[in-house]
Amino acid sequence: MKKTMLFAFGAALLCGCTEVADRAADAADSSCMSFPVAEARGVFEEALAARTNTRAADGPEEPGFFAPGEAEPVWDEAAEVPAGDYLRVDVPVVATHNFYRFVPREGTDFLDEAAIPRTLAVMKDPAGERRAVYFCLYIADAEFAEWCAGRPRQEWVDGKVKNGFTGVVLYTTLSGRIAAAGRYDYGRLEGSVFFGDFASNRDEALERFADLLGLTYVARGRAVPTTRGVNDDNQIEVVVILGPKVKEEDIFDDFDWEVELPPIGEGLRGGGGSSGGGTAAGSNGDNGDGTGGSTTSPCPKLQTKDPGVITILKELDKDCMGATLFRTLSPYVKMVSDANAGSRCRIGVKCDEKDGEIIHQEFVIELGTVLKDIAVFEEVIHVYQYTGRQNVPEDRLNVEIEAKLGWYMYRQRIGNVGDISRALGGDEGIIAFDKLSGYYGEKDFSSSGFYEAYNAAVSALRNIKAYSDDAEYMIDPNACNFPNLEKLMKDC
Amino acid sequence: MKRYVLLAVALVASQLVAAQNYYQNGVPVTADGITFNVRLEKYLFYLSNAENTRTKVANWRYKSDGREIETEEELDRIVFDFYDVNMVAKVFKDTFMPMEISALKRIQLSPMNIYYVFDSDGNVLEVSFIMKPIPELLSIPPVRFAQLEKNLKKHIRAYLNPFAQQMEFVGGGQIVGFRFIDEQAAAAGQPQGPDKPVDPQLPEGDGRQ
Repeated sequence: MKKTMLFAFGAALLCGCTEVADRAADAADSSCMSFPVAEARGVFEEALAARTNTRAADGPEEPGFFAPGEAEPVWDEAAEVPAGDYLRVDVPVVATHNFYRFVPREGTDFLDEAAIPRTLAVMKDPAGERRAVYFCLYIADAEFAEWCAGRPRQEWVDGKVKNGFTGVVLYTTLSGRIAAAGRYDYGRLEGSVFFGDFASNRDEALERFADLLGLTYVARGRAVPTTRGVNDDNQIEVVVILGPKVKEEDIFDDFDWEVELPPIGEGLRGGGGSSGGGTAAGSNGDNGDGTGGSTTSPCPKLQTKDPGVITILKELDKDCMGATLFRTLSPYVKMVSDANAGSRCRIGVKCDEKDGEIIHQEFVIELGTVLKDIAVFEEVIHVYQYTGRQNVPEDRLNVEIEAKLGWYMYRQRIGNVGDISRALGGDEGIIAFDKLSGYYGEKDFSSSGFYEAYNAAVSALRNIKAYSDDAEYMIDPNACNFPNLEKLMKDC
Repeated sequence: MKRYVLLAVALVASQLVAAQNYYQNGVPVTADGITFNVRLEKYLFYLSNAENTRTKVANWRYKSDGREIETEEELDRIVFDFYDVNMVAKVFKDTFMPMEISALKRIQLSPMNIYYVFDSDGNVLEVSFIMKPIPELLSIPPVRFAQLEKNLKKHIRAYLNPFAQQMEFVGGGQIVGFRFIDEQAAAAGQPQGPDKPVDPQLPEGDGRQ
């Protein structure tokens, strides 16, 4: 009965955390009540004692695959975290067993390993009637896992507030048996499953769990200082494949263990090779040849699976403006490559509003097959420009001019000789933007020459079919300025 | 006497300085058979062959009937790029004397923009030069720009996808940062990557296959 209550509590935790819109309210809720770390520690120790000394009829719970071994919460680093209607303290854990997920390295037969972060979560309801203790394992999706590696957990997940976390959060009992799981996509709960006694249909729950997790390779390893021979204890101990292939009644007891894996820490990262043709300065940045390095976006907010786009993002990250942009970008952006889109680039935005205020924005950038650094950069600058904007702007062409001037000056800085065709409206467009770059460099915005150049840029862009509709792309004569560039180029 | 000598030296010196300023706004200059129209403004130094007729055309037309492209979808289907993006640097190094290249490489913040008009086979039909009016660039004599235009027309080529080949012509541009010129010139002629086509007009066995 006690277990049921705990599980039900866990289910409520998962199912309750649905909307980003709740975050503000959560913060307000938690500010009213608190869950002192000392009290949380008491709850944990009580639960631990109950587990190890249980005299219940069904005996102590058998350790599951995710059993941590000897586990020691680091109470000095415990922190109360947002948890919706509940109070929750998260505590990092040092344990003898650590867990890893494996990520196929693109274009090779190798697997890269990524540690699965784990915390102890101690929860209670505001009335203090129900309390629960779980280990939370954050099994990030492949791309996100690489980005998370080595970064403080608070950067990507903080209790209920999943800061862009993409993957599955697994809740296990202290014995390491899975109690519940939730799948998150860019911080939003996409689905959840619960394995408590009251689950209506266990088969359905298993199926749902498999759907949530997909095919994921997870390994358990012991924390030791070095990696040695294959048969030593410090190897990956066991490997489990979680996912759709699992059909058994109890997936936690009957995993497929037969996967050959390289040892942790040896030859798993890096790779790449040389950059092929072109020069660093003059390399096309647009050929997507996957030059070197990892396959992770340098900006956590920009997520893409396209190695060509990642190559471009890495180049942008080296630039004074690009680095500032990546550092200050607040919404999450999915970058999707469309093989049928030619040279087209599009951007879409989804907004959640509450009381007339935008509380969440997600952008999707659709890129064509002709990948150009300038196209990617322009769209990301647009994301920056449109973040937090309420309405369709009446200065849309002003916004375009600012973004284009942004990448134009970037290209001037880096010496990339790649084609800039069409993007500025022909020869007159280049003349206009080149002049604007001169005025910008001298901060010479009050002269008539500046407005002439600005108007010339407007005229040139109107020659591009996409900007020819002056009702769709309105120009605001009072917005002939570059407020976003001023911020983004402060380090240039 | 000493005063006259100094005056004479000063006159000669001023003529030398004046002689280096070849360009005035609105006054065409001619060299090596090419006449350039000149625009010289606060932040613009622009040279365009007086015979250019297509550099100002931003909306391209079909060869078949002269119809302008009308939709974004059509525009999106037009894809073209340089066969060798670094070739422009090699052309510069082949056109300018080493001393001139050295002077150009000292320019940090004012690259040159080159705008090309390509025919449907990817040959350069027209060129214009868009620059900042800085002394280093203004001191380049017109003959050098004329040679540069000729060499660019000879060596720069673009590949157009089949849809783009339906156009009478298309336009593209390059920003040439002088300080990168050595590196880029060295990379000219190297393979451009697995997805990049090789110019069919290149002689066989040039190592780029």
